[in-house]
Amino acid sequence: MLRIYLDANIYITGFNKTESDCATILSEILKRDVVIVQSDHLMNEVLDWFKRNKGKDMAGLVRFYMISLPKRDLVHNSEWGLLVPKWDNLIADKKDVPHICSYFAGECDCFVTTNRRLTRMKIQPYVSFQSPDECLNQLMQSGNGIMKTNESP
Amino acid sequence: MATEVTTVRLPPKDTLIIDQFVDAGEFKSRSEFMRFAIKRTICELVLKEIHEKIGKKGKPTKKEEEELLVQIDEIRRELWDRHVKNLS
Repeated sequence: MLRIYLDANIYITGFNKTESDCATILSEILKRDVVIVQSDHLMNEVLDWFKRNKGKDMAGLVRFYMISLPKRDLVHNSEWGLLVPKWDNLIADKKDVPHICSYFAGECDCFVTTNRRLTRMKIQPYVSFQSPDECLNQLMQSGNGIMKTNESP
Repeated sequence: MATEVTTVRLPPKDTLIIDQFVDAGEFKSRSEFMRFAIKRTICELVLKEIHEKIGKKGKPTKKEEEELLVQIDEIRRELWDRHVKNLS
């Protein structure tokens, strides 16, 4: 099953622009046979943006969406933190380290972002970066309808 | 994961359909089906509500995309600095 890491810009754009590819991704991931990998760092980033720009109530709703995704895998600080020494020399800007390491810790198949700066880093050969458009194409090819879950009862 | 027992009354034809999915191996149990369906519905409703409250039509312009990346970079830097501080 496809495992996807959506960068913070995908969530923020998807919630703010109803006709964007990012918005379509946020609704398609609910219908497709995919696992969405998130990290505590990513959650904080998205929620921080909403608190600053749209208020606490809206941040609460966004949090509700993010934690309610039917197939969601959360990577904790302690997990991605273990991978920092292995990858940080290939990541020019240290503030991106938690996201790249969460991608590896979550064993993701793709890292979806609108940030072209990220895709030009030395780490690029090791990370399958995708634009929202590329991600949508891949989502459309993946299974849909009812899907299996691997959550324990 | 902590769980609570909730009784759901369903028409027999719906339970039959759910059981077919369980028999086919798509879900481990009726409970798993219900959890999945509930989470998916919550997300759909919340996404709709967010779009109604703050969503703007159209696609983001290049300028809007760049401005957003600058704002995210600022938050990302602050969170990273906080993380490093907590480690030391």
